[in-house]
Amino acid sequence: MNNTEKIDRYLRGELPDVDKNAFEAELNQSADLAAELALQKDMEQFLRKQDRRAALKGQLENLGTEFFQNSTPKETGRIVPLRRNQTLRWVIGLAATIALLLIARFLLFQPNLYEQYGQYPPLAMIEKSSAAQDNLAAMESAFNQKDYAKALPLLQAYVQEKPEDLQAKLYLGICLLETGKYTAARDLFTSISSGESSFVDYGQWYLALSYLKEGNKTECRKVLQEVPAESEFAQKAQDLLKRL
Amino acid sequence: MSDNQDLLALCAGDPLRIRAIYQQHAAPIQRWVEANNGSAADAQDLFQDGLMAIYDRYCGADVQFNSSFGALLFGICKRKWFDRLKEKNREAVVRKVEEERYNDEDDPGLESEAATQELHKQETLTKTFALLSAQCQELLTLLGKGVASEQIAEQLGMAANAVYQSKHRCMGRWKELFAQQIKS
Repeated sequence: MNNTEKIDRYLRGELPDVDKNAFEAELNQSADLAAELALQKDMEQFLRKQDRRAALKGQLENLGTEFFQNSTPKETGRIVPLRRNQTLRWVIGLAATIALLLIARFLLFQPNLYEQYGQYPPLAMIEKSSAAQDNLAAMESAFNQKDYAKALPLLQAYVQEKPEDLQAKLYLGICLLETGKYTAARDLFTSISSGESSFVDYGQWYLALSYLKEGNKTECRKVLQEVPAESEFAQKAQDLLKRL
Repeated sequence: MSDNQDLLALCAGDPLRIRAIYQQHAAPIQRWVEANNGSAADAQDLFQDGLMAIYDRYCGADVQFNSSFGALLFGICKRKWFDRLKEKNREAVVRKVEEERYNDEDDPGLESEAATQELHKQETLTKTFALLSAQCQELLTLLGKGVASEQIAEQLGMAANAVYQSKHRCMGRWKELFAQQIKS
């Protein structure tokens, strides 16, 4: 067995006791082996995180070009003479028709408001705990794949074990909401929004969304009107109020 | 409190709060970089590196976060900029900023250094992982996602008992590449 294999089996808890004890004794003796162990741990963590890390990087790149853009000199506008000819008229006519069709489509089938506003950031639980990795990974991937029915029991079990984890509670609420259990979802959102944590704004926003999803515009409006100006969701709340 | 929120937002990829981090910190950092021979594009790179460094150091690790988020971010950006200037060998400038480095009370010294190192490590892991064979990359990625070895064997068309043997071979190769890269 070479070092890589030995370390891997040690990390997965697969070394028999005798070998494990020998390995730990060796670790104390050899700084090189300890460094190898640390590196392999880093690699395992890298593999677990690489998708999310790449996603974050993409997200930051977009924001970066938005916030640091004044370094690129603006292209000066050119004036192109407009030639009147048959083709151009035809193209303009076609474009106008398409535009009209698009407007008509929008007016006739206004997309579902809840679909537009009910978008959640991905659940990232694995990073918060190293215990019970398997369950957390399953929970996270179910949630992020929008399989709320599957994520629900996992989150319920997790919250029962860790009732102080407000983020998990919030996501549990979202699962309940998405699976149509409005009352239970609202109980959670209400308790979060009346607390003093960093999730207050979120609790309130999702409470409003729960009414939106159920089609209860009156209650939804009520909650939205209470969203304070300093809330994370103030702008969205105003927008949604206008459209209700 | 709000510092901790910024960190949580970064770890969770929360788009709204991350946007707020840019709103709050991008302009001052850009001003500082421009005042130190840099461009807005340099500032953009540094800012992103700074956030990634914080992500690499604190998200998912058992490391206590005691700093002010803004000061740490600024500290990492400065540190990276000093290093870049040094590479460019603008000695006079470096001497001046070197002095500032040790006189700047806002720079949470050790933390920004540790985060910068962690970023370097993660970037090196990324770079060397990409040098592995396609099959190694796929196998390790699937294992990292927690896919069962039987399923991986089926997907990659190998015998079930070969999955871990291949894993060890791939990890071994990756470690070699990593060691070469770190040395150079």
